[in-house]
Amino acid sequence: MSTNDFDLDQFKATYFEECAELLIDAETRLADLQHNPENVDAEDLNAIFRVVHSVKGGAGAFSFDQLVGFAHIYEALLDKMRQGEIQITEDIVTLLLSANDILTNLIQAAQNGITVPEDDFIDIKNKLNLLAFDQPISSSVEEDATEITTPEEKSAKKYIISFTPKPELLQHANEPLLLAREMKALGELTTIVNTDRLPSIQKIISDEAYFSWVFELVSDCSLTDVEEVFEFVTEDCDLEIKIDGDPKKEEISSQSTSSESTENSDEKSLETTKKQAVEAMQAPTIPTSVPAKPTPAGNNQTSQRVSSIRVELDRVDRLVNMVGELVITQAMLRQQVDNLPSELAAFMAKGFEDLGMHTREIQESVMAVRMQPVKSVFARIPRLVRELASKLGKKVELETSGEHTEVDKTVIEQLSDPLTHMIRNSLDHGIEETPEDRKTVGKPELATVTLSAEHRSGRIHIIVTDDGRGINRERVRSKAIEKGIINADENLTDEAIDDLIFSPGFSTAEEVTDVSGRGVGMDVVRRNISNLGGRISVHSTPGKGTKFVMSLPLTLAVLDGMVVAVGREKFIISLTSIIESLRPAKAELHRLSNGANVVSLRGEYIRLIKLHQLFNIPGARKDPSKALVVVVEIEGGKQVGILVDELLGQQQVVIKSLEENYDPVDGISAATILGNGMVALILDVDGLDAMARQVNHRSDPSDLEDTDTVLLSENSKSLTHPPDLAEKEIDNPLSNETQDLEVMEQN
Amino acid sequence: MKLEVSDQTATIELAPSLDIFVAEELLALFVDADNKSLDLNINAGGVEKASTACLQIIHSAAVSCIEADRTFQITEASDVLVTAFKDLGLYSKITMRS
Repeated sequence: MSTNDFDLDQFKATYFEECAELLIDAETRLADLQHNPENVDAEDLNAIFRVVHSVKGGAGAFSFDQLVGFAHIYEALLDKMRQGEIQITEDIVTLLLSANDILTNLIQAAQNGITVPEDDFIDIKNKLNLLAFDQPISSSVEEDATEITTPEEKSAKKYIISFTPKPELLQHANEPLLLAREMKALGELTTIVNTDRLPSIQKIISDEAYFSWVFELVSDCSLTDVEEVFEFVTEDCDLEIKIDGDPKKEEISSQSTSSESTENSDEKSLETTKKQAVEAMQAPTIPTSVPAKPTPAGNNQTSQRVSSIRVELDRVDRLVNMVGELVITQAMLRQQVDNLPSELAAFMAKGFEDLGMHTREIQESVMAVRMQPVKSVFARIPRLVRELASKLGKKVELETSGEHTEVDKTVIEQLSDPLTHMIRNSLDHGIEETPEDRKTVGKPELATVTLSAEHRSGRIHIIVTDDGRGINRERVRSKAIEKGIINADENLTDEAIDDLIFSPGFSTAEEVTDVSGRGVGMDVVRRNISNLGGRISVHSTPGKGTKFVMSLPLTLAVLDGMVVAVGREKFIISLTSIIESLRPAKAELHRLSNGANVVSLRGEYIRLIKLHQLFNIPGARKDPSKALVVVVEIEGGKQVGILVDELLGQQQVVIKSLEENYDPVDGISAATILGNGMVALILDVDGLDAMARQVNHRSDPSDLEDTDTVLLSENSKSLTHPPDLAEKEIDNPLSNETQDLEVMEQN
Repeated sequence: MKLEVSDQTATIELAPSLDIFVAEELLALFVDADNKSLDLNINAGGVEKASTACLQIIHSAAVSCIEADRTFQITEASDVLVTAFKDLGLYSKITMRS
């Protein structure tokens, strides 16, 4: 195709986006084939073929020759398979999986503007060639895919191509001129145009297609090459491609979406069109009469059914932001109702109730636009497992479930890295070293790693389970002591030992490999997940396996929160982390020897986090028995109580990033704007827990002067604090931070 | 692009880029000329890019002119335009003067 007058670069981004989606589909279907090679769904093969064909078509348009070359061979094999010429076996499916991996690499390389060394995939390419064309390529010499032809395709043939665009063809950014030129590049082209459908200048519609053509192409190219010229317009035209003088190949390609053309007999369409074209050629140079036929386009055209559209994420984000502002404005207006005379207030209140309902519905609808199934992330995992298992010499089967569970796109984007790391960790550390090791302990050689997703309590849970050897607690403990993470005399629970794997710099790997073992792993995973407002916990049974549970918010844009007051400050606590709230009796409050305060709740001791102390808030209620304790769940399923003055009510708030708009603040995950226009900070309960552990010793003895003081035995890591931090100063004047933030928001 | 009228002849100088986005503008000029029953003289010397949409409009304008016994001519057609007409199989259907 001549690209002189058509800049294709602008379409590359879209092409790569489509490739990513197509590859996910191919990967999913290949996984189905892998699980059941004896009973293959023909549609799976057809779909994979279409994926590779589309990748190849686009690659050709952008001159990604290496990608085109490989896709061509891969596609040819798939074509033979779907024709039933090659039987589907486990080996073939394995080959297809490898081919798909290579295709993915080549697409990535094309996107990065680099070329993959041919040696990297020559083995697979040879195998594909052998099956697809009965001829392996023995060397890694760069080839042009268009030169890969079967012997029968090499002699010159005359193709007769009948091409009748539908009216909307031009509106879909298709250009017959480019198609004609692309064919001209394939060989000797004769073009016969039919202008019968062209209306008068008063009736013509500027962007509708009226001409039709019969092209005669003499070329030694393959039928596939000719078909490829039209591959992006098949939905928008009636198309027939025949090879002249070869009865076997007549009617070889006929693509049309209209029922009319599919009903035509073999000869009718071409002959009719040809006749029309000849008549047109015999007509005067400029036709003297305008066809009386009804205009084929415009008002009576049947519009194509569109079930989805591609929208730039920026546009959706702008919409989400504006809806967020709408929610805030609505809340601000709602507050003004209280200042109105009572009769007017009642009337307005009803109106605001409806408005609130509609606003909420709009917000949920907009948020739903950003929701995507986690399938897009899960689809990358089978390949990862295959590659790692092969590298580590382990036999591993991946089972997935819940891949259609939906989560906000922002979460999806952040999910990939931690998930990849967890899978790597499971395969490298979780699964026994060799299949023989598994046999020795009475397990099947084939290890199973399960990846699942589910909605639970307004969050998404991603669970990675393996049936490996479980966490070796003795080893973890000794490594933690060796690295100075814990003291040798510390008495930790099993859960606390398991939790040590998330400590910075922790690794039990004897040697550093490219899979894992650098000790920069699980702590980064936890930090990343924590940054997303999520939590990760581990549950392990020695000899049986390990389960990692990631709990993440469904969205990073809005949050259902509880507004609480401490002094004159207001904070938001995520509703999903709140378990209960209570006003403790004095008898239930106790102080530990290290200065921490706890509240006794149904026989359990829950550590108190004093916001007024952490953030230096004046005027707050310091006596817990006169304040309220909001019990929240933190990392690892533990509970802490946050001391607040009062609960002001539930509210859905729009999350404003502190990192983007200000600076990170310890113990604060984000900010929001309340109905009165003031900024409120959203508490990071895990961060608060970490802060509180550091400053327990600073609790003012007067806070609990009237309470019973009980020395509790501490055998939990969560109730200890490093002695060297005992005198660390607190420097977190929240009031100043808030003031700055308000100024910033107003600006 | 604009329409200049002189002695019952409308002269239209085609834009360098005759892509689909200018098709509507081009059509409006031709319709205007048709409404005024003008002969058409198309100056196509500056055309650097052509599209099927615009070529259809030019062709339709030509047909409408001839049918109404008015003259239609394209002058100084650029190579790009000539090639485009040829590629679409239209060259034999239209007379161009250089």
